[in-house]
Amino acid sequence: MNLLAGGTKSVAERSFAAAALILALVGPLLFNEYWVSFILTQTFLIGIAAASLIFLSAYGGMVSLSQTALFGISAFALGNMVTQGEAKGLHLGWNPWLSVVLAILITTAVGLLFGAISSRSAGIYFLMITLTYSVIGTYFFGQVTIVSGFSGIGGIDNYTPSIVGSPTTQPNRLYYVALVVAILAYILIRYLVRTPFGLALQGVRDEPVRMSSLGFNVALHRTLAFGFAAFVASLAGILFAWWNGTVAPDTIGLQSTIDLLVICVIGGLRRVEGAWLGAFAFIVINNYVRDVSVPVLGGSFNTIIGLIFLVIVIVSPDGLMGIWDRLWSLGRRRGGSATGPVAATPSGSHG
Amino acid sequence: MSRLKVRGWKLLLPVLALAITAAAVSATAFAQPAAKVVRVAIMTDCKGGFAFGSEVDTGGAFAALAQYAGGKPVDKKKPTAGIKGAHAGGASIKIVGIGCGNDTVDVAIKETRRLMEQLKADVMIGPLSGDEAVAVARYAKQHPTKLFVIGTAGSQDPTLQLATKNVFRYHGDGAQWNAGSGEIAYKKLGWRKAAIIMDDYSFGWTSAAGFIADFCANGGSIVKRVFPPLGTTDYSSFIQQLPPPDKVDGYFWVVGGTGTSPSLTAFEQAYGKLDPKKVIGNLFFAFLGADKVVAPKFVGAYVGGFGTPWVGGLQNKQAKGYEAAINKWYPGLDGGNYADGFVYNYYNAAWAFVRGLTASGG
Repeated sequence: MNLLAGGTKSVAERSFAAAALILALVGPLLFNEYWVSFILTQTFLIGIAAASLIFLSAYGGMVSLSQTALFGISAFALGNMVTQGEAKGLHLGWNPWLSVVLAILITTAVGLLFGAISSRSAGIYFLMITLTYSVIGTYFFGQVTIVSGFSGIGGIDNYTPSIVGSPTTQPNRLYYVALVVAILAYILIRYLVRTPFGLALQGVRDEPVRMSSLGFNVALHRTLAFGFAAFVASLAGILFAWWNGTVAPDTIGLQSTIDLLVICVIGGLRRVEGAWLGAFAFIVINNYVRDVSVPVLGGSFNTIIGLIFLVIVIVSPDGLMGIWDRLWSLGRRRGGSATGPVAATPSGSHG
Repeated sequence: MSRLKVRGWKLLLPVLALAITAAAVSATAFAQPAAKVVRVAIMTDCKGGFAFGSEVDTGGAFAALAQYAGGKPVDKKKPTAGIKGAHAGGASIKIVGIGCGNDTVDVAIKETRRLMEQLKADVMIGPLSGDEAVAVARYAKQHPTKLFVIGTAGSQDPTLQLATKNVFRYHGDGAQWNAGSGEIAYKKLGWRKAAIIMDDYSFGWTSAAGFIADFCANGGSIVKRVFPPLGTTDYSSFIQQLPPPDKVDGYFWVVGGTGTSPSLTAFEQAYGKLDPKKVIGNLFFAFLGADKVVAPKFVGAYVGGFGTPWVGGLQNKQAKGYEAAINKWYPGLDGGNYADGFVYNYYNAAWAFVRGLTASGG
């Protein structure tokens, strides 16, 4: 009896999760500095931003394209508040911790506002409204030069809290901070979707009309979910600002918006774990196929990530996590423990 | 059963693709740096408004490595194919990578990190444009053991305001490239009051500074400064902020890239044809297609340049030598326009690096 056919799926998943966590905890001992400071730290923080999108998609039925804008609002807010003497921006020189708290509050408030505006729309209209938020975010910070300008705000990594230290000379600190924040964000999402609010949100996702007739305020649930996702995205934005040292409008431009969506699709839009899996795959591919040219098609990263995206969408619309789910189903069938076809994992069942 | 097998294989396709990538990656991920050579990276743009820079800039830099460090181009028609055998001061020069920027800060930083941290470059020649260089100078400040020689970015900030000790520049900046234009405006064209419209980023500010310094030193005054953000497509609101032609003696125009022509068109729509004697431009008036679209409208106008003798060709002995060097190693580079600042500045940067390496004994 093979592994897939035997045991329970949750045991296998928990085993993988434990192994991944142990690997992450000892990462700085195993990997070289570039992998620790660039690939893995970036994976953790981009994964958090992707998790905010997957949360909205998987449990709220809302595919939001505004998560990069919210991510950016947090990073720009932090940059304006902590830096001093930059050419652009407010450079207020405030305490890093105070700035972190305010950046999170500002981003969450903007998220609630965005959510309130878009909460009564659905489908393609919701997508377009959130795309508009994304574009507004880019051009606001690009054109309102008192808070940034296209040059962006630099030197943010010089004003980190002591626990983070210097991301350049002490990369392991930011690595562990990002890891812990990623774990907490994951646990928080898992917790939230099991609360009465989370269950109601999933009801809103599946049957908004029925939920409304039962007395639930559909728009309010969607707005609050959006606000929560903005909170999660704001954590990623702060980590990004520390990690990159610079935040510029192109950080949250249309390309970044698409990249985040691609990350979520590669990882799987129906399971939060896919956020970090997708981020890891995307960042590694982006980093290592620069000099690879696809025969006939040419190109490099965009061609290869595009091909992988295409294959995943065709073969497993639920991304890499969906492949795992389906492989598990195949294994069970071969093991004889299931008869008829096994449906894809319902959204929220892993929540 | 066979259907299940086929589906299983289909499911494994993306996993297989990722596994192949992972296999390629693993060696690097666990590898430790081991080099006795000087590892050099070129940072330029291969996307965005300066996408042409990848071959042109690399060609300029590699021509200098061929000319002064004994390198041999792998392909004389394609500089990015690489160069082999370069050495100076007793050290081998190994090209570890060519960065691909897109004229944005974010990508410039990520590419710089890839070149310096993943590919372990000791020296970076680049980047190409103003804000990229500012971002790289900030990065350089955090990495004092690495060396950065700016490719052709013309903002002053990296070497004047930030003044990062391990960042060097061997070409002019935007202010130097417009030096004298203010004096010409005041003394030759008789301007006393001028308005400036400039891209709101480091190169725009630096370029305007070159005009302002001379013009104001001679007694002129700047009555209005308008800063359109980069990426602006409709300049009409910014043109309305400029004083009309009867209220000012002339305009210094520093709107570049895809904005040069639309900004001037917006002015014409508001105030009619712009008199060539009432406008002075910077190098934006003469490249990226502006030489064909914009320049014909302003015959007789003064414009700043790259500081290379690009009008009238290369004349003196040194310039002829430079031209011969480019022609020897990369014939036809940049359409034969060897005096283009992109080729010339990267050439100078690489040459300076070779001289420094030689002087320091590797």
